[in-house]
Amino acid sequence: MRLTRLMMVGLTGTLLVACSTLDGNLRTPELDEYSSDRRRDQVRGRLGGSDGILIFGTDRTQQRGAADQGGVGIGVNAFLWRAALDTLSFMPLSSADPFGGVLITDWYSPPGNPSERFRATAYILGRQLRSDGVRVALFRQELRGNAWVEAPVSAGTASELEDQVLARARELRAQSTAAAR
Amino acid sequence: MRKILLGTTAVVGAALMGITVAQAQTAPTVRVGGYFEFTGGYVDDNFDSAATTGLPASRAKVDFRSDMEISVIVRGKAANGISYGAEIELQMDNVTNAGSANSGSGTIVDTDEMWGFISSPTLGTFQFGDQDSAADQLKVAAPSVTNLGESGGWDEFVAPVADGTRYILTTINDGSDSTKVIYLSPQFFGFDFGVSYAPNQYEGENYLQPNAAANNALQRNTNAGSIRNELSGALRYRGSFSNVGVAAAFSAMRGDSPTGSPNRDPNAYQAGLNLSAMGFTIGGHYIWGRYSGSAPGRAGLAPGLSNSNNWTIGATYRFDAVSVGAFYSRGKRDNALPGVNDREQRAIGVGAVYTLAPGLELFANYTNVEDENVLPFGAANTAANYRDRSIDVFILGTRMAF
Repeated sequence: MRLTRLMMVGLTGTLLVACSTLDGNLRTPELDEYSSDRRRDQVRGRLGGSDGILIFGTDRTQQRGAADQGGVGIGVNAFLWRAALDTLSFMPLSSADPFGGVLITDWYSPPGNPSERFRATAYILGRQLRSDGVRVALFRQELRGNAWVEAPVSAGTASELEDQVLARARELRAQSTAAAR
Repeated sequence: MRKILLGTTAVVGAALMGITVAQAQTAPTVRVGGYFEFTGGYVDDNFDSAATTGLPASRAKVDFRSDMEISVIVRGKAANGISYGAEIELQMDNVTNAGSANSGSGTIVDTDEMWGFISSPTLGTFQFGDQDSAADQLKVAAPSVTNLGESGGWDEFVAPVADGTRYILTTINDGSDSTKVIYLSPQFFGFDFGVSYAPNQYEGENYLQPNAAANNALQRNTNAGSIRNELSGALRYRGSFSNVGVAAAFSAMRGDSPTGSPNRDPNAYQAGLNLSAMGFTIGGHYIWGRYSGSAPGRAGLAPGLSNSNNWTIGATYRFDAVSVGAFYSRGKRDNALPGVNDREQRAIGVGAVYTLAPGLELFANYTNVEDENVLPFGAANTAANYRDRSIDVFILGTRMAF
C-alpha cells in the first residue's frame, strides 16, 4: 500500500515536471516542415518575394516585414506599440503619439477602491523589438479628504507592466509570423 | 503598504485581463502561386529507339521539355487559434494516350494534389483530400538539389522499358494523390508522427472507376484498383547536437490487394537519416518491402516473386547562391521469368544549382544509369531479349517559382 502511494507520488511528480517542461517542447509543425516532392517547393525563394500572388485578403507578410523595421507610418516598433496599447487599454487613454512612441493614460481608479487612482506613461524607445525597448512609469495618488495626494507605487509594478507589454509584443510577433506562412 | 500592494496587484491583474480578450483571428487569404520549368537534355541511351527486330537501338539525341503547375493557396486563422486552409494544384499532365477517347497533346491540365487542413497549435494537423500520405510527408530521404536525384530530371528524357518503368530507384510511395485522411501530430521533444488512411487508390470527385460505364464499376468495389485500405504512418525525429542538425524517420505503409487478384498484399518500409552542418548535408535512405515496379507499395506482388529493395546516399553543399550535390543509388527487383536474373539498377549523379534571384534557379546535372536485365518495350518476353541498359543524361535548365 505504501509502495503504491509512493509510486503515485512519484508518478504525479514526474507528470508535473513533464508538464512544466512540455510547454517549450510541444508545438505543431508548420506545413513547410514536411517532406515535399513538389517541384515548386524545391526552388529557393519566390519571384516577387511572397509565396504566391495575393488575390484576396490582407498581406500579413509585408506587414510583418514593415513591423520588424519599425513600421511604415509609425516611428517606433509596431509590435511594442500595439502591445503597449493592448496592455494599458484597461485605463482611459489621454494621449498617444505613435511617432515619438509616447502613450499617456488618464487617471484610473481600480473598481472597489475609489480612494486611489493610477496613471501610466509608456515610452517605446526604438524601432527594434528588444526587451529594453519599452519603459513604463506608473503614478499613484490617494484621496485624503477632498484632495488627491501623491503616494508611492509598489516597487516592481512598473517592470511587471513592462513584462506584460513585452509578452504581448512577443505574442503579436508570433501571430504575425504564423499568419504570414 | 498592504494597501499599496493590493492596489498595484489590481492594476497588473487588470492589465492581464485586458490581454486575454485580445483576438488572434486572421482573415483568410487566397494566393495564386506556381512554377515554370524549361529543361534541355542530351541523352545517350542504348534503349533509345525500337528497332525493327523489336530490340532497341543506341542513339544520342538532344531534346527539350517544359513543365508548369499553378497552385491556389488558401490560409486563415480562427479566433481560437485554429488555423485552416486548402491547396489546389493544377498541373500540366503528360496525357497522350494516342488513339483513345482520352487522347491529348501532352499539355492537358488536371489536378495534382487538392486538399484542406485544420491545424491546432497543441493538437496537431488534420489534412483531408488528395494529398501525400503520412509516410511520405514525414519521410527523410537522401539530400539533393533541384532536379538532381535517383528519379530526378534524368528520367523525364528516357523511354520506359516493357513493364512501364524508367527507374526503380525512388522513395516510399507518396499515396498517388488518392483521396485520404491524414493526421500529423504535434512535435514532442523533437519527435512527431503521422498516420493516414485511403479506402482505395482513386482521387477526385468521381465515385466510379475511370471509364466506367455502369454502376457496378464503383471505386469502392472490393475488386477495384490495385491497392485498397491503404494505411501509412511514420515516426520522425529532428534535433541538433553540437551544431549538427539531425533528421531521422521511419516510414511504413501497407494495403490490401483487390479481391480476385492473385497478388499478395503490398507493403513498404523506409528508414532515412540526414546530418547537416556548415552548409553540408549528408544522408541516405533504404527502402524494402513486398512490392515491385517503380512505386514501392502501390500494388501487390505477384506470387513467387521476391521482395524488393533500393537505397540512396547523397550529399549537398550550399554556399551563397550556389548549391551542389551528388548521389549514388542502387535497387533490385525480381524478374518473374525463369532463367533471368534480378533487375539491378544503379545510378550516380552530380549537379549544381545557381539561384539567380529568389525564385529563379538555373540548374545543370549529369546522371549515369546502368540497368541490368531489363526487357525493352515492345520486345517479346523471352530470356534472350533481356539486356543491360546504359544511359547518360546531361540536363540544363531553369525553374522559376512564384
